[in-house]
Amino acid sequence: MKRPFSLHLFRLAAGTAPALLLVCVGTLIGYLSWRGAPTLRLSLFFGSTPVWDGLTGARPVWDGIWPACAGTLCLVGLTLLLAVFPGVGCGIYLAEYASPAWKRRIGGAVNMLAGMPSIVMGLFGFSLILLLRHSVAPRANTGMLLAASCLALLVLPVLVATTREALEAVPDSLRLAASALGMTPARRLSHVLLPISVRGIGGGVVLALGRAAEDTAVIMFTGVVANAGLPAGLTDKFESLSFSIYYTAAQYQDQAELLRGFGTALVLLGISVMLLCAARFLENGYRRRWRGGDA
Amino acid sequence: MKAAVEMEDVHVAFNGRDVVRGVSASLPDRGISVIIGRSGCGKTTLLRVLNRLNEEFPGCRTSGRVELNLGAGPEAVYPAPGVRPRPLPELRRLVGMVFQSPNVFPVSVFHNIAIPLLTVAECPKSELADRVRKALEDVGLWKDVMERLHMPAEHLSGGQQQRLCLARALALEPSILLLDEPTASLDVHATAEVEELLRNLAERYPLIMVSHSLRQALQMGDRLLVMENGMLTHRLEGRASTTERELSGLLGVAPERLL
Repeated sequence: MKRPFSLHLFRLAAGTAPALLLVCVGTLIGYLSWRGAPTLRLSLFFGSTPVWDGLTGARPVWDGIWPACAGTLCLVGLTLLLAVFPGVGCGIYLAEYASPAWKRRIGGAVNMLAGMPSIVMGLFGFSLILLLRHSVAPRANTGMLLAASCLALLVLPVLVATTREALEAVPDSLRLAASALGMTPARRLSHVLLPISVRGIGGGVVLALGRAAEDTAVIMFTGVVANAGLPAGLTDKFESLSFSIYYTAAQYQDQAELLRGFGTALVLLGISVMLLCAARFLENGYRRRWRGGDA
Repeated sequence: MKAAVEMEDVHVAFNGRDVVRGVSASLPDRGISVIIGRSGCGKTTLLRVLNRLNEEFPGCRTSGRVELNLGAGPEAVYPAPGVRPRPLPELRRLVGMVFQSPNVFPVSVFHNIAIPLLTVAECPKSELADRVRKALEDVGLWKDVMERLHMPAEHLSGGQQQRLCLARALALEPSILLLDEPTASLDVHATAEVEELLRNLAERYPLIMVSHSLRQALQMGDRLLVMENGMLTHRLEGRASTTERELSGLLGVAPERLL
C-alpha cells in the first residue's frame, strides 16, 4: 500500500527536528570553543597572581576569573541549600497529601511564581533591602545571601513541579501494593515512592542548578559586582561568571578582552556540565543501591 | 474446622453507590475459597473488605460485622462501639494480598522482600537475608534467582514476578492470604505454575481467591461463592461436584465466555 504524502511529510519533519537541534547545539559549542578555547590558560583564571596565592585568596586576583568561578559555585550551592528542601517538600505535599482544593490553590501560586521574570525577582530583592534599611535594619545591604534567596525563589517552581510530576507518575497499583503490605503512608513515601521517583526529582535539581548558575538579572540587583575577590561571607558582595560575561560583553576595551569573555562563557558551560555529571553520579549510586545490577 | 473469616450483613458503598450489598459468609481456616461472578459484581471489593483496602479509595463506606481469625481467635476488623480493632498496618501485614497483575516494586529482587520486612515487620537486619531466602524458597523461586538477587525485579518473567509478589506477602508471615485474580495476566504455563504453588500454600494458609475463570474456580476451589450484583447468590461446597455448564448457568453466562 502506498503511504499517503502527509505521512512522508510528517516523517521528514520528525527526522529534521532532532537534526536541527544537534546542529544548533553543535554550532553553539563549536563557536564558543573556537573563540574561547585559546584563552583557556591559567592566566585566564588567575591573571598575573601566583596560582596558589590566588586559589587560596592569599593575594587578590585582579584580571582573572577565579573569584567569579568561586562566587558562582558558592551562589549555586547556597541557592540549592535554600531551595531544595521547600521545593521538594512542597512537591511531595502537592502530590501526596493535598486535597484537590489546596492542590488548585498552591498549584496556582507555584505557576504564578514560575511565570515571574527574573528581573522582577531581582527588583523584589532590591526593594526588600530598601524596606529593611528604612525599618528594622538600617545597615542591611545586598550580598550573597540575598542573591541566593532570590535565586531560590526563582528556581523553586521547577523543583516543585518536577517533584510533583515524578511522584504522580508512580502507578497507583504500586501505592496500593505498598498499602496492602501494611506500610503506613509515611513509610510508603520514604521506602517506595521516593526511591522510585528519585530520577525525576534529580532532574529537577539539575534544571534548578543550571538556572541558578546562568541567571544574571536577579543577582545584578542583589549583590553581584565586577570586582570583589573571593566570596567572603553571606552578607558580602561577590563575583559571578554570568555577570562577568555580561560585563565583558558590554564594556570590553580590546579584542583580547572580548576573547577572554568567550573563555569565561566556556568555563561557565564547563561548570554546568560538571555539576550535571555530579548530580547524575549521585543519582546512579542511589539507584544502584536500590535496584541493583544493570539498571 | 474453625472459621478464618466471618462476615455478617456487609455493605460497601463508594460515594453513595452500593457495590457490596448485605453479604454474610463464614469461611473455614483451611483450603481455597473462590469468589466468582461477572465483572463488576463486586467480588474484588468484597475481597478488599477483609484487609480494609477499600479505604484507600475516596468516598468508601463499609458497614456490617467482619471477624477474622489472625492467630488469637476471632477478632473484629472494623471499629464499632466498644471495639478497638488492630491498627491498619498490622491488619494488612497479617492479611497478605496478591493482585491481578504482578506489581513488583521497581527495585532489586532482594529489596522487594526486604523493604516490607524492614518497614512493616521490623525484622532485625541480621535475620534479613535468611528471611528473604525462606520467602523465596516458599514460592519455589530461590533456585531461579539466588544468583541474581540484586538484579531489578522487573527483569523477571511474568510468572516469576507474580511468585515474587507472593513471596513478599508470605515473608510477613500472614495468617490469611487474599488473591485477586492472581493468574489473570499470566500465560498458560505460568498459570499452571502459580496454581500448583497455591494448592501447596492452601495446606498452610486459608486462601481466599477471586477468579476470572470457571475452569480455575472448579479445579482449585474447595468451595465456591457465586456473586451477582453485589450479593452472594450461591455457595457450593466440595470440589468437582459441579460442571462448568452448571456453574455458568448459575452465573447466567455462556460457559466459554470469560467473566
